[in-house]
Amino acid sequence: MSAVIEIEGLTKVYVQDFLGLEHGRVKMRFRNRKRVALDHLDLKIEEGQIFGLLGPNGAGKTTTIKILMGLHYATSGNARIMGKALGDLDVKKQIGFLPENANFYDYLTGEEFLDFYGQLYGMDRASRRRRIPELLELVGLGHAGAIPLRGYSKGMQQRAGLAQALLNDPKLVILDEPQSGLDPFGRKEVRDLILKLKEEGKTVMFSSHILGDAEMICDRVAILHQGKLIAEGHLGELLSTRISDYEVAISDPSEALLKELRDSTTRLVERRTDFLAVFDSEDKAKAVIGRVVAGEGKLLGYTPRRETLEDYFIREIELKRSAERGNAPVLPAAKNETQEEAKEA
Amino acid sequence: MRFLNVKEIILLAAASAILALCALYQDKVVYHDKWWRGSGAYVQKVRLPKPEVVKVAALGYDNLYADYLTLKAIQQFGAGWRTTDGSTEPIYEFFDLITELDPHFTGAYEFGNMILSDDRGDHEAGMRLVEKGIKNNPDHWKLAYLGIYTSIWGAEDPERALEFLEYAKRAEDTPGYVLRMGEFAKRLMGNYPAAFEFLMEQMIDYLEKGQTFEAEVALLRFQGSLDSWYKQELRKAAERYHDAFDAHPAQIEELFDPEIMPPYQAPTMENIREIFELARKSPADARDRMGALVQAAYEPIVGLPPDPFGTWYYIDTEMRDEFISNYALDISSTAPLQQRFPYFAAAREELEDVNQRSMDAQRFILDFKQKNDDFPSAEDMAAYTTADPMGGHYVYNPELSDEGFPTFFSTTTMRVNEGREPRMGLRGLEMPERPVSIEGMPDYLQPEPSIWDYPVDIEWARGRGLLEGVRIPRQPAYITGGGGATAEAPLPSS
Amino acid sequence: MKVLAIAVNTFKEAVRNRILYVLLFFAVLVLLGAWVASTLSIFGKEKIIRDLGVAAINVIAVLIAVFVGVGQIYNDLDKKTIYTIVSKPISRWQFLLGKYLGLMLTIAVNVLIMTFFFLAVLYFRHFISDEVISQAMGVAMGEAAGGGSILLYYIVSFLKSVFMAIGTILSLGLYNTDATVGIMGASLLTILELCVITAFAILFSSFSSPTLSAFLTLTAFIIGRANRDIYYFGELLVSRARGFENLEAGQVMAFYLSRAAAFLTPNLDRFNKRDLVAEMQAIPFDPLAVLYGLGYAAVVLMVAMVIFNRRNFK
Repeated sequence: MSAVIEIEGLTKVYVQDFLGLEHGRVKMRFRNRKRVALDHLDLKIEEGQIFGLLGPNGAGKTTTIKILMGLHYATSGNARIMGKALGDLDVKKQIGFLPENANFYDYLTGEEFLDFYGQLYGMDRASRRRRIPELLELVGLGHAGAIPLRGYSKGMQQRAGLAQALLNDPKLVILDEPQSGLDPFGRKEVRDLILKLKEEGKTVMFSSHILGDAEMICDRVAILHQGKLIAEGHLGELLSTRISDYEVAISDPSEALLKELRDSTTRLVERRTDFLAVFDSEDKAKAVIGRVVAGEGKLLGYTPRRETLEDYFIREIELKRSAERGNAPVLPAAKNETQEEAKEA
Repeated sequence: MRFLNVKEIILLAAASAILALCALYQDKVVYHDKWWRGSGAYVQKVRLPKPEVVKVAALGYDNLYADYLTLKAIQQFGAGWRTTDGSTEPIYEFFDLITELDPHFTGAYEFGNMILSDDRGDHEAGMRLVEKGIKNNPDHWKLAYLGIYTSIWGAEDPERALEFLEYAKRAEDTPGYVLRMGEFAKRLMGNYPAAFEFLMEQMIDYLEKGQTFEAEVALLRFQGSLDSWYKQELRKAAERYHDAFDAHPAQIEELFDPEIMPPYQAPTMENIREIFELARKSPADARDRMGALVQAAYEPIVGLPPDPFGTWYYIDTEMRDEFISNYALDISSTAPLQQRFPYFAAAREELEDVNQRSMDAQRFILDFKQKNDDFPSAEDMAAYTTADPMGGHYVYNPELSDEGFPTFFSTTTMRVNEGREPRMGLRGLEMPERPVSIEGMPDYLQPEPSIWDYPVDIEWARGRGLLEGVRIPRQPAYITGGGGATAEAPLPSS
Repeated sequence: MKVLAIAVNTFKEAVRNRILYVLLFFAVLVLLGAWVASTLSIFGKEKIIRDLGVAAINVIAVLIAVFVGVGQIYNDLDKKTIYTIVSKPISRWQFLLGKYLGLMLTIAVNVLIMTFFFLAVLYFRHFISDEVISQAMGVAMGEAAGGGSILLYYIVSFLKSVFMAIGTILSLGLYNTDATVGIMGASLLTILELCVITAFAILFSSFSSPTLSAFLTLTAFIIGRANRDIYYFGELLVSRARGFENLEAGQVMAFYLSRAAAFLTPNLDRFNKRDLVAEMQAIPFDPLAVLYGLGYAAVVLMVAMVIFNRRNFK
């Protein structure tokens, strides 16, 4: 396997000049404000992989992608796609790109829109005619080809955007937050599409701040935070297989059990008569289950929880932050809060 | 389906109320504006930027800006140039600016010449404008023609006409009659019948080409031409009187004697207007019958001629006395009649003075008010309340009128207006027929009738009590002959 | 090919965003102007209508260039539509050139449609002028023995006007009558002038916001129109001092500055032959003006390309 994308020491510093204009190139020594968006990033993306670029907002994901796509220029460092320098037109021919919250010329109909991009790819008329209906079908816009884009819903526009990224049958597909703004159904479709692309042998690089999406499909991920690479690797390597929590959901517990729960759980979430008890050991959980089964309440559910990408992500970031501050991590509280939100949702 | 709910209706009502208030206020503003203008005291001067500034600021749309200014000039013309203080300099500057922006806009030179020379009587400025036009458009013979025309009939300067003739010769397609004008130039001075014939040819020529506006301007020119002609007849009579009695006549009535002023043939404005109407209907026909039409304009006139502008002639005694005591002896008997008998005047000329004097007084009142925050008393106005040249008096009434302004007027104009609109000069009760109507222009843009558009004849004036205190002939000023008189009347004098 | 695709797309955008509605405005303006001129003016009506028509075509074209032109690049950046375009196998300069050509196409089509309408109005006005109509109707009545229909005459004149206007456009103004001489020439010069102004619009919008670029483009336009006066300023100094050798040191510098400024800023006067239209004269073909316009536009575009190429898209 050869590396499709190689990034070495990529750094991007935004400079805000005294006029308040932000730009990346002009270096003025006088009262400029600097913001480091990307700090010596090294990455390698192998062929045929689904690569997830993860991190919270402002982590530098989009900056990385913009630099790769030639929309921004790096302050220092360099990157190569398919072994060639950025901006090489032959390489660009083999890339499909969908930017974050993409907007398109909304006065064009779906077909005109794809035809326009087909021309930009240098496709001849015949292949455009063949490929466009095909793609519209693929992204589920077969019925909407003659409608102007301004009549599309957000989801339809995102699909149209995907269609333009796949128009040239690219070897490398770069998607910036492809699932943002989509409903769960739409997100699943995008997920399926990415997996399908992988099956076709394409390399997919996508960014996301919703980790659940990445968790299910990524071969490798890179986690960015404040412009720095925190971790990179196979998902299996990054996530431990250890089970961290044991959750027991109980309805109508007896007074005694409730008192017991308050003492022994690491955390207890109440909602009217329902309780979610979180234990740090299996034994404690099983003991409580036993008592519930014995009649001191009604068992709603039992979940041993494996660490997720999300947990890992939060842990890594907290570690990083505390390392910076020199304090011990305060993981559990943060973790459980997230857990709770997830459950309640 | 409900289009409006209660809230929206309230909102719209409020908006309408505010709009109505604005409109009321606006009406007040406009009213005040009218008030100032109506008083005649507030005179807005036309302020024009320098041509070189405008040329930069016009950003290459010079022509369009020139057109805009031209339309403005036409409006000003329609309004009688009330926005200028009576001098012709701003008018010249206006056209100078237009032609600076668009030097090849020949229509503007022609129109400007017409206004300056024919309308305002500043022939010098009119010729200056035409000269500028010729320099910018040497191929446009019509400008040279206008120059010749203005110098002959306006400035009465035949030598200047010959200069313009040189320009006319340089243009390629100058028509023959323009070139012939130069030959006529000297002869035309004092040769009124030839001038008349020429004008008639002009008018019919314009009508034939469908240039009604120009034709109507030509019609206006007849008035000036006839005025000179009639005054010349009066001077001839004065000469005969002088030969007979070795004295200058004291009153114009003294000339009304078959010996002194034998009947003579001359065209009258009434006849010319008839011919104009006739020719307008069938110009080609008129062209064929040119000679007959020219003859038809003539009428034997017995006695004093009528002023073609509608008023009457008289002898300005002040001028006569001054002339006799200071200059008469120095002038040789071979000098032109104009120099030997310069004291003939038409009533309209003095009425103009009366109006000018009223305007001056009103300006004084306004200045006084601005300086002292009060209107002047009768004593303050003593310098203005004198006898007017028409035999009446200037009157100052310090009591405020309905419009909150004291009144100043001449009793002469008061009589003419029968007390109605003292400030408007000689406007009569009935609007007279407009002497000139400009085709294609809406009514409100037609020229205002000026004082000499009113058909003043003796009976008319007597009927309105105008003649009290005014030096008027003892008998009808002129008698126009019927068919019988024509045969006996002598040939047109030359 | 790719440049063409972007150009066509830019044109499509202008059309779909109802830019062509300004043509309606133009039509109203010309008809209204003709009416006002014939109502208010007592002479030179035809001249005023011609002045108004050619100036309106020019002004509207400039306004399109300024207000549509400056938004082009900025909107693509602002809405991020440019992301998917620049990431395609296309260079930034190609994108910029495509935008420019698309704008020029929009402006040229607008100008030609306005010219067509104006020509048709002028032809029609000629046909229904008093002299022509009385002559034509007289003949028609004579032939048809009282059967000449004024309505038919109007319809035929209208169709004739339309075809004659098309003929004038297609022949690039070589075919014309006294009623329309010079008008197509003025429009072609307007298009040429707009080549320069649009290049400026593209240049400024390649690095600044629409408001600022509109301001800068208008400034360039005004300087371009006042170019001759900048040049004459130096001449004025010399003539005031009665000779170059009498100039003081500061004045000499001012003289050379005015010269340099006049040569460096665009001389849009070269494309202004509208006074000839008013005089009903044909506009002579000026190959130097064509070269100057295209060359100047190319220089401005090259600068724009350099700036645009160095930009980060936000």
